[in-house]
Amino acid sequence: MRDYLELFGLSLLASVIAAPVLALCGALLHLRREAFLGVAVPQFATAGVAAALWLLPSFPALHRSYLEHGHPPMLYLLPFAAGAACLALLAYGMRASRAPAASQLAGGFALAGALAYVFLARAPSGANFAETVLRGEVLLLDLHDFQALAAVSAAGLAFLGAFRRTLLVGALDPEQAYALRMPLRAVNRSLPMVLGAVIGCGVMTLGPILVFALLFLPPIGAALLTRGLRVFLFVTALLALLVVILAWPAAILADLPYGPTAGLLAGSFWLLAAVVHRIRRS
Amino acid sequence: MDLVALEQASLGYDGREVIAGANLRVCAGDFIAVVGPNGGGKSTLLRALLGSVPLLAGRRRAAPDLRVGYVPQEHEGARDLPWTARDAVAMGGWGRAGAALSVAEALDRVALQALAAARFGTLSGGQKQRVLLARALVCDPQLLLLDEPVSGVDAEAQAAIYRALADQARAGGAVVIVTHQPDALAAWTTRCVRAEHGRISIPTATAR
Repeated sequence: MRDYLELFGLSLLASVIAAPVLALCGALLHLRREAFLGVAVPQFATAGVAAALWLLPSFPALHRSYLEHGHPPMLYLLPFAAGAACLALLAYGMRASRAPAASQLAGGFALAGALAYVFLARAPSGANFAETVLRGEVLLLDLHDFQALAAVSAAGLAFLGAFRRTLLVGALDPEQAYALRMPLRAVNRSLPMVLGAVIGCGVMTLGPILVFALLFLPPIGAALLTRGLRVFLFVTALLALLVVILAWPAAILADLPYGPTAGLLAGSFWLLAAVVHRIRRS
Repeated sequence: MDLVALEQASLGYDGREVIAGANLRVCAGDFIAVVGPNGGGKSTLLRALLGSVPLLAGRRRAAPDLRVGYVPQEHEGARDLPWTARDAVAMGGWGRAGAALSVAEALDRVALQALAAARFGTLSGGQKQRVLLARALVCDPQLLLLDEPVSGVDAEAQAAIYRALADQARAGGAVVIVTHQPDALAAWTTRCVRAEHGRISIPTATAR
């Protein structure tokens, strides 16, 4: 057990810290009926990671730091920026109304996917990176990654907690937020930055497959099992925690990468929730 | 003292003007019916009073710490979202003013306590409107803004909504209601405002 914890302790702790925060972000997107953002933002963030890897050799000092100590700040900044760019594209699409915002975002998603692979193909360390982080091999998480993930997750959780009422009313009935004199406009302006940071950092450290799984699957499973808002949020966070904890022994036993294993486990919970929901209704 | 006032307000969306030069003062004890044809700007006027529509010109003044209850015209309330009637009503007490009524008391006022645990999205149109009215009443509002609260609502639910509005007016609160049935409210309305062709006018004045 001690050996197990020594080997995987940091990665396990990182996944336990990030899982409920990512799942609560996903729950918020679910309530806002913007779950497609949960796909698009990680894809944009992945392109940001790839662009950072491509640009690194142009900055010798940063490149040396990357090779010697792990991820320099640029590897975090570009995914954050790309995630925020995705949300800005959505906001622009909604305001310009030339085409449905979701369609514009889908176009951006396709472009971001292509760019990610082009950047990785051109980046000297791209192939190695794709083999590890993009597959969700959180085993390779180093202390810098852990610190960044913990700090961003804590900040994201603090934002979600501090503005939970405004976020929930804004998601379910925005005009009510004005009647209650809530700071909805300011919170809505901050939300893309917070989501961009949490998802971008998640993609950088845990990989997009695990981020996809934690954003989407716990909330839609919890929505099938619960009625009230509080219980929904609690069950969402609980399912995400169960997924990341149980995925560890499952991945080791099955000798599979951690990210896809967690995704399959989260999918199984969703399926189970759907069955329970169907039985209850009948 | 004015609870809320619009002064030479130009109202619209994305730079497109819907109502020009609106002047309207709402004081304690007012019961104002807003009438007019579809597309005349009634809902826009109500939202401007609420503060959810940025003004293109002019200004909106509101009393400090004004408690507002708002009932929208209709609420999509998707069936698959996990929030109950109880959750919806509780939100009425989440503002700075807090809750003056418990969720149970508010639901009792609109005769819907039995459906407190039902998913909001599964309620009928009339039940949803009554839940939203209960939510608006939770903070003991000084100003109640309602956008066609009885559209698509059966006679029994209409009566429950009108009773709650009458109670609010009797207690000295101000009510502004967008309606296509001003006659049904004639017993309580103190003013009738008409929104039409991008202007608002006050064609009738009725003593309560």
